[in-house]
Amino acid sequence: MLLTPEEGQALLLSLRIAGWATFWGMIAATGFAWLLARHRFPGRVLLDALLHAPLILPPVVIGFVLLMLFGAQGPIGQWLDAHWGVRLAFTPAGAALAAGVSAFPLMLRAVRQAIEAVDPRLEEAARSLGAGPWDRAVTIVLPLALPGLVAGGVIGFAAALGEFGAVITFAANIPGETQTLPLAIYSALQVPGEEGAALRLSLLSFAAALAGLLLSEVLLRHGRRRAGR
Amino acid sequence: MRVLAERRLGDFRLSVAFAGPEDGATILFGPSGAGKSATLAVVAGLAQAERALVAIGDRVLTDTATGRCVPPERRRIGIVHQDARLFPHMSVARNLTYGQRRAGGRDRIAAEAVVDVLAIRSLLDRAPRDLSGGERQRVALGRAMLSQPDLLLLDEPLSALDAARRGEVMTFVLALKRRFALPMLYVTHSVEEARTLGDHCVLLDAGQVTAQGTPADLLPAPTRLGEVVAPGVVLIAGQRIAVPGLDAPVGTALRLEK
Repeated sequence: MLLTPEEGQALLLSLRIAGWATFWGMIAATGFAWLLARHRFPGRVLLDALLHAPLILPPVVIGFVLLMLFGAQGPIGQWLDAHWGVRLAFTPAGAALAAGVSAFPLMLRAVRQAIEAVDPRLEEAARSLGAGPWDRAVTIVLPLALPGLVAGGVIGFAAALGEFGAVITFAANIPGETQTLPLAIYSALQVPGEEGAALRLSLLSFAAALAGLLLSEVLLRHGRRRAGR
Repeated sequence: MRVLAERRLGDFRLSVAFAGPEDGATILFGPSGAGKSATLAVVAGLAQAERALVAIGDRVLTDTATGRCVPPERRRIGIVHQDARLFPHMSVARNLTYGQRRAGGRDRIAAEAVVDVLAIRSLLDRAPRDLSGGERQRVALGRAMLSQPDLLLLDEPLSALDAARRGEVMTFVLALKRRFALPMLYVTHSVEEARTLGDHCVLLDAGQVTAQGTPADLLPAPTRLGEVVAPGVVLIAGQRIAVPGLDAPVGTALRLEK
């Protein structure tokens, strides 16, 4: 299937935006998963619920909240613009933020389960052998949690790739800037007689998600072999 | 080695104090629930105590009087549990050197020597999942030794093994002790292990030290009852008795143990 330049553009943009959303989302998810899995502190349950909020909020509300916080008039948005000259609303980076926030709870759950599944006695053994907290995290816990981390990354990537409501609300629908595949499909459906284009784009997003899934399967097998399971 | 630990765990009150030789094995002997594990946790720095003093030679690791408490990763205490706890994603060789690489250049105990004493050279490239129970314990012993510890803590290291493997692994523990002259704290409820390895013995019961002395004085040799003469057949007082389900090898002595 040969792609038109517009389709190619939407595909590449989608992969880039979903890629960044997954990258930053996984870093945040790993940090918070660690905090929730390994530490007891006041407000833990509240934080847990708050981090899961994107899962139960309508995506359009996520986009709206992001606009209020990160938009040109929002407190964080103003601060970013004043100190770093960074604008998020209606930009590709903003689309990645919206997609990443929407997909975040899925990544958090997968990573947290993976970290909780690592036998704490192995960490204790590493500790008695002279490994400090960071050392143990890098050499014991994360390698053993790797299959779960990969799974979290894949599900996060797939969710970010498909995110519609939060992206269109926060980053709008600008071809070549923030128009990801779902947004391009939506635009095509707005024009009478463009159902064929919409179908092609739908197949394209299906293929992209499938490729991600297959890639993760390969990574997972490799990881399992290394982990000895 | 000096240990003092006073801890309250619910209804259980731990109150132990003992000293052990600086090179030689101190046995912590007692039934389960006597407070052996609670004592070990204080020595390893994994548990807080209301009052505690742990010192190896002149190194004070815990002293509640001064508020000193060295974290477990800086205690230089090698620990071997009944489950080997080898890292499943690393080869035997990488497991062995894990502690050595973090020992800050201390190298009194050489990898070559440990590998030879434990006879694990042929296992180096293997993964932990491909080892037998006895082999795993030998690697765990080697890994702990190579972390260049000031004290080797052995928490019932043989109790997960079958009778034949127990004797084998004990031979290696004895070999390490002879070769590297290092204080050991060995927790067990087996009279045989205590008598084979121990230089000093501390008897624990209900959270208290009930006696200290040499294992030979404190723990009488188990009375020999009989012997396995054929698979599933035991000779006791001149009588052959079939014992269905007995899988001890021929030649195993039967003893009365408390």
